[in-house]
Amino acid sequence: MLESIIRAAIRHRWLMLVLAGALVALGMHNYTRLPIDAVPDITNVQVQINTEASGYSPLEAEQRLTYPIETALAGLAKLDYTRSISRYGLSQVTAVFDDGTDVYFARQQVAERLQQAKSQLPPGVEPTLGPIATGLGEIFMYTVDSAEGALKSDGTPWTPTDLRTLQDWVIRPQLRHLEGVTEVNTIGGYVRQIHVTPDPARLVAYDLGLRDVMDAIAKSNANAGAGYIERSGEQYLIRVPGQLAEADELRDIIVAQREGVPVRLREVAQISEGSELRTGAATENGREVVLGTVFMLVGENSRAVAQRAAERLEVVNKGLPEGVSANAVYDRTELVDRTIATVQKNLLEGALLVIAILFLLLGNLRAALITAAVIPLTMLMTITGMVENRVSGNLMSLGALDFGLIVDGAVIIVENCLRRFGEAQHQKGRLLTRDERFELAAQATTEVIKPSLFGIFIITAVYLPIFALTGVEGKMFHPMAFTVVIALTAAMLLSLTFVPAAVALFVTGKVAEHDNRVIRTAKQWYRPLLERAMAWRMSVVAIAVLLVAGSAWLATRLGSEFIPSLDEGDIALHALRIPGTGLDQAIGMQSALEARIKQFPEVDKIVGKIGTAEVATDPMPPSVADTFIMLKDREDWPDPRKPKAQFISELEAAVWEIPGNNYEFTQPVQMRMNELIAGVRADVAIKVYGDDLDQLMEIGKVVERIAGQVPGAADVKLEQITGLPVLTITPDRAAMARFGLTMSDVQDTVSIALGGAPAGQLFEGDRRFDIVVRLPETIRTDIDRMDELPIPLPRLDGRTTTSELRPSNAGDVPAGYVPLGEVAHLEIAPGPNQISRENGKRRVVITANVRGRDLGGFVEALRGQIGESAELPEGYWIEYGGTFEQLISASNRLQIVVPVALILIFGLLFMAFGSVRDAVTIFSGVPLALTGGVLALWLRDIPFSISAGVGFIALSGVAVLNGVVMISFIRKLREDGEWLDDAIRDGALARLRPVLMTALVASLGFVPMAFNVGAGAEVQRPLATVVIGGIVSSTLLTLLVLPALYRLLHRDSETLQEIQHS
Amino acid sequence: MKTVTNRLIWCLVTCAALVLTACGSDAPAPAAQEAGHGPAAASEFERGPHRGRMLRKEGFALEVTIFETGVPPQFRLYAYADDKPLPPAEVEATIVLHRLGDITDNFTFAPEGDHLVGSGTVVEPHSFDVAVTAKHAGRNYRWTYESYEGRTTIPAAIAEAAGVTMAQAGPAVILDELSLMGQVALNGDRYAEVRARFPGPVQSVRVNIGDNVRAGQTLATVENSDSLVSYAVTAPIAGVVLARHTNAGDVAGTEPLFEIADLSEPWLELHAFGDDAGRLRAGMPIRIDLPQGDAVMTTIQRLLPLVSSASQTVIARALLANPEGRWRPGMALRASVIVSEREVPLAVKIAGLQRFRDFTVVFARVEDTYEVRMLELGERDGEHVEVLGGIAPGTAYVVEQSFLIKADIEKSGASHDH
Repeated sequence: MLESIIRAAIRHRWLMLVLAGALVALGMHNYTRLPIDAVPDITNVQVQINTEASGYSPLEAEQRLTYPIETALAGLAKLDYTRSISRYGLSQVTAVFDDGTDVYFARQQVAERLQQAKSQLPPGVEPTLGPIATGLGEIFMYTVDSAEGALKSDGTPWTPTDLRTLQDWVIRPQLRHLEGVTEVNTIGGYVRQIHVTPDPARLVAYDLGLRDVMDAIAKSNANAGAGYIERSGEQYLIRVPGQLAEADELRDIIVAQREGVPVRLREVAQISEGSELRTGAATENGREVVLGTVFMLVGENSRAVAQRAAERLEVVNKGLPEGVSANAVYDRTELVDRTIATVQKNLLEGALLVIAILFLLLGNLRAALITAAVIPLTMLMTITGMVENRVSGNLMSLGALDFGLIVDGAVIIVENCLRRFGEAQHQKGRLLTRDERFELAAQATTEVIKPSLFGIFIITAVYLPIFALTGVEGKMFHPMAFTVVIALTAAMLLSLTFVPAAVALFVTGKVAEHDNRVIRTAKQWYRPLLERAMAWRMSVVAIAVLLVAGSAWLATRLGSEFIPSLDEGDIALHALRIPGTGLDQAIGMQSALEARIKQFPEVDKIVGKIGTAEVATDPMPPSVADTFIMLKDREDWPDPRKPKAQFISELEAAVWEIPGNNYEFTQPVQMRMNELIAGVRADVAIKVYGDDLDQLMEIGKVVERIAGQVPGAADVKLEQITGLPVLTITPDRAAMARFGLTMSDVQDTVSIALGGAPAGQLFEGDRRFDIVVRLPETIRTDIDRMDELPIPLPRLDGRTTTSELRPSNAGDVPAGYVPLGEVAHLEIAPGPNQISRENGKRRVVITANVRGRDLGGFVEALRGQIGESAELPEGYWIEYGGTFEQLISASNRLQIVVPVALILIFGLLFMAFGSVRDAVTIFSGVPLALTGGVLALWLRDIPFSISAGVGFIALSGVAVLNGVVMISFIRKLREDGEWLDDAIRDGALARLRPVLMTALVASLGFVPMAFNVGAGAEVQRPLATVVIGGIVSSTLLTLLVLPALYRLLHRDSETLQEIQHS
Repeated sequence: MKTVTNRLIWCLVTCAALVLTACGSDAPAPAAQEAGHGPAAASEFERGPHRGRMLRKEGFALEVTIFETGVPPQFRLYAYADDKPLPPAEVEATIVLHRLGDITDNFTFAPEGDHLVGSGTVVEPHSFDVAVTAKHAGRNYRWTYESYEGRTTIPAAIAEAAGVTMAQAGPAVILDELSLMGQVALNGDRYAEVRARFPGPVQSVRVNIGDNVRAGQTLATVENSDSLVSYAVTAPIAGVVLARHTNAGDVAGTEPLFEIADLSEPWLELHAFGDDAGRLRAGMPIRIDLPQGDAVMTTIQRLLPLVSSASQTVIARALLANPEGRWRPGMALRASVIVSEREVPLAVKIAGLQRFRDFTVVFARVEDTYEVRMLELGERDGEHVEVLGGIAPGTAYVVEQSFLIKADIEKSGASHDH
């Protein structure tokens, strides 16, 4: 069948070329459609439901918002689990769906359920769904800032409120409507508000309450329509505008009548531009700014969207007032471009080297070009495959592409064709005719197609275990495995069709029958070595075994990491402060931190996000700041060769000097991914579920202590859920009854007075600003005097008013108000800063890592001890989670899948040769090939990682491929009747050229990758290092050990039958 | 074959394992303390059966605990020989605590039950260098270790840059003030309702609302209906005409014709609620802060006898000098009554106070080291708070940015742990 395909391809050679051209065109087209990002998207399918309710403490937020929403979500189709956090003023419920669920389907379901839940929520709160974005969504950030000394048109400097207003009403609307943008989130500055701050003493004097002020404003700020009238056939609309046109008009609002005299708002209150009680702030280089973040819609091309945003921002900038500018501070395009540039550069340089080697060894430029053409063709076909299968292009998927493997098949075919052409030309003493050429090409291809196809099958089989991974690691590696498999399939198709067709068509000239000088020299060196290896075959094999054992030992000495961390170029630094840190304090501490970081000459900009942004995609308390440190280009560093790790450790040393902060270093994309996955990231998580927070904490402490005593436990930590100081104002019902006050009188007054309450909006064109009534800052923030806050008493008939001035000598004049302290008890105590729930129940988490012990055993011991010594009250239970589950399930799965893959490979080899001995001979090549890779890693001091693993996979492929080619050749010679020793010698010598070629192609093709330092290079470097190192050992193996082993396992006396079915 | 299988399993399992760790944080783990100010390493030490620190030497072991359940914190020592409890009477021990600022506390021990109990209270903060000596069976043992809590070190330059300011604990005047709302009222002693002595028609009215009148000035003339003699109605006091209830032609009866009040010294009537009322006494000074910044002083003249049933308030009345006519009856205002004014020997500024565990604390500084001082507090006013114990007079403590010091101490998660 293979032969007929090859012959058909040669017959329809032009069709093949046209098809190849078409594939190129399709690939180019798809290249523009390929979603490109730096790293694979490992976010799960989730829908965030944010509900804001200003003034709610964590407890209220949980009770009034989180609980009804969570309950409503229960039982959704494909729902995996829900989790929630309730913070000051915010409830965030995250519904996580099974992998593979369509996110729009999930959102639709959630939205339906929210409709039903609405009636249970307090009036006025509106649950909203978070942006349709993943962990890769934050692609572009910009700050809005004013130049030093820039003034507004009225001569005053720009305030954070002004900048925020520009962001909200000028910049954001323009960016929000860009294609591919789902949300533009704002943090920093102050939302402009008009503040009406009544003087409590004056209110008392006028016998007014805060509620009266609010009512008065609401009643004086509306437009009304009054239908229309017809007159003389014409229709007149009627409207009664009463809306306030500007803030100053508020001053004249009439609040009450006192003895016929109107009391205007200005008599009792100050009216001023004010600022919201904000939940977050942003800083840049130590200054407060307004920060905008552009979120990309799921599945869009991040580079394109970020570019669009950047271009739009340019346009927006032209429309901003003099002195104000919006500047990009983070642009994903840069990272993606840099990464892609590295990949491109490596591929290009590699391809050139490959062509050079092929030319050098084949001595035929056309053949070399045909072989090299397989690289771009395969790449473009792979891209088409990726686009069709929605695999995004990134460091993992593109970076692991190894064109040594891709061209291997083609190299073998082309080499064989050339050899046969040369022989035939020599035999006939003339150039071949077209038909002879075609026939010979078909024969030569058929001769080696089987081994090269098997090689590719085998490599594919090696990748199979990766498909068995699930969860985060699955998401990380599936694209890579998928891409490699597509590439290999494409290469296989090309080897079957395009390569023979092109060879038949284009290799028309004279083909040197004799080896060129390079190969001749190589053979001169090789022949005696081979003789000796065959003579001392036992020792050779023994040495090989020793080498394998040695490198296996060495392998355990190598450090290991998951993937060489994808260097995003920029640094993200979590600055953590103690719970309860106020926003202004945090800004001060953040500024000090940024000022210190700015002193590093390598740092370009620092942007800080403190607390929670307007859209609470990442609800952080004010005590936490995400600090993005953008580095300059390496050329601008004082020492461009300084390793980043060294820079980070210098940075770390410096920031630890700044008091009051804890730090976590990470990178922007990585940080966001972690936030969204937000599972527990420790090895073991002990989750205690229950109702009462104090009780949960108690149990948590017990569990923490027990866990700490289990051998192997490290970093045992109880989640911190308290520590937020809460001023609790508990109304005293008896006291309120004495004064005739109701609960809501007190609550309303306190919440309006301290938190403020919106009393309407002020419209300025499209812009609208809340009018907020609350007490002046001086009174509002004075905790010591909070108990003096006057609560107006209900009006009683016949009560003395100020107009009756007659002196009372008895003192029975009522005061008209009562201070808060008389009717309520004020107490400051630490309260919960956040309430976490999972699957509808409160929970605290105790996390632990495991050192020097197997996870499974640790968890078992832990369960046993906790079950024994922790007594749980009714309604409380413990669950175990954490990464250990995935680890154990992954290793269980791998324990099955890896042997299956190996058996599969062996089966394939057996199928190819029908001989266990030959299969074993070839298979034994794999470990020897790996020795060189291990040694190379060790020499370059690179830890073992998944990239290196991919390199090993590639190596095994090369080793197997070469082995297959050589063994099948030797067998063919023996079948032709040669003696064993002769067959081995001739076969080995004849295969020297292809073996050397595949080795050199693969190793030199990787040289640029191994030594490049661009973005993403750290992912490719281990792979390239392993391959280059491994090629040396693999070549040695194929050339020396394999013949020796073959000689060891076979005897001359074997019959043909035995050769084939030993 | 086997090698390969194992190898591949090893590789892939490692990969899988690494996926998970790497997801946590690929960042270099917070490096150890290169900078002297790095994250404090959690002090790890062996804990004994009573959750105390085990000190061992040559088979002999001493467990040091601080017992504070229901009693003031005290040292309790448990002795062991080869991990078997020893009778406390066989062991002699002393502990010397060396605290920040060169203060030493000495403890001797006496047997009690199954342990030795220390001779005094271990005062907060439990942050010190400890030197323990013990004698058992003729052998002497000595250990020293550090046991710090609530302590951090910040270089002076960094502290200064962060805006940390200091003050010294010392004497201060504590004002006990009550802030009360009230209003300016007519002075009842200087108020008059002017009536006609005899009923009859009003013939003429001489003054108008707002006119100043002298005592004895004629306000109106009224004809006596009985005698038909006109007589003058005169002002009984000097003052301002507040109201005129009559016109020429009216018939004057018993109702007042005029209200006159002298506004030169109106009353200030302050409403005192609940407990506040009980603390007020006649003669207490009152301060009224004026918007311009200065203040006017007066004193409580008397407390009125009745309580308003509606608002449950007692009215404290004072006289307000009114030379400029600033105070007009009816005006609402807020005033502070100074209940007491006391010089206390030891006080700290309120701005320096922080919450730390269950205590209210300030942070003392010795050179570049800051340490918590748990305070026992007395009365406070807007600026100072009296300190009854917990800090030595003259100690320098942090006023501004005290939160920063607290944040720095608490960030390392240091616990109250012995």
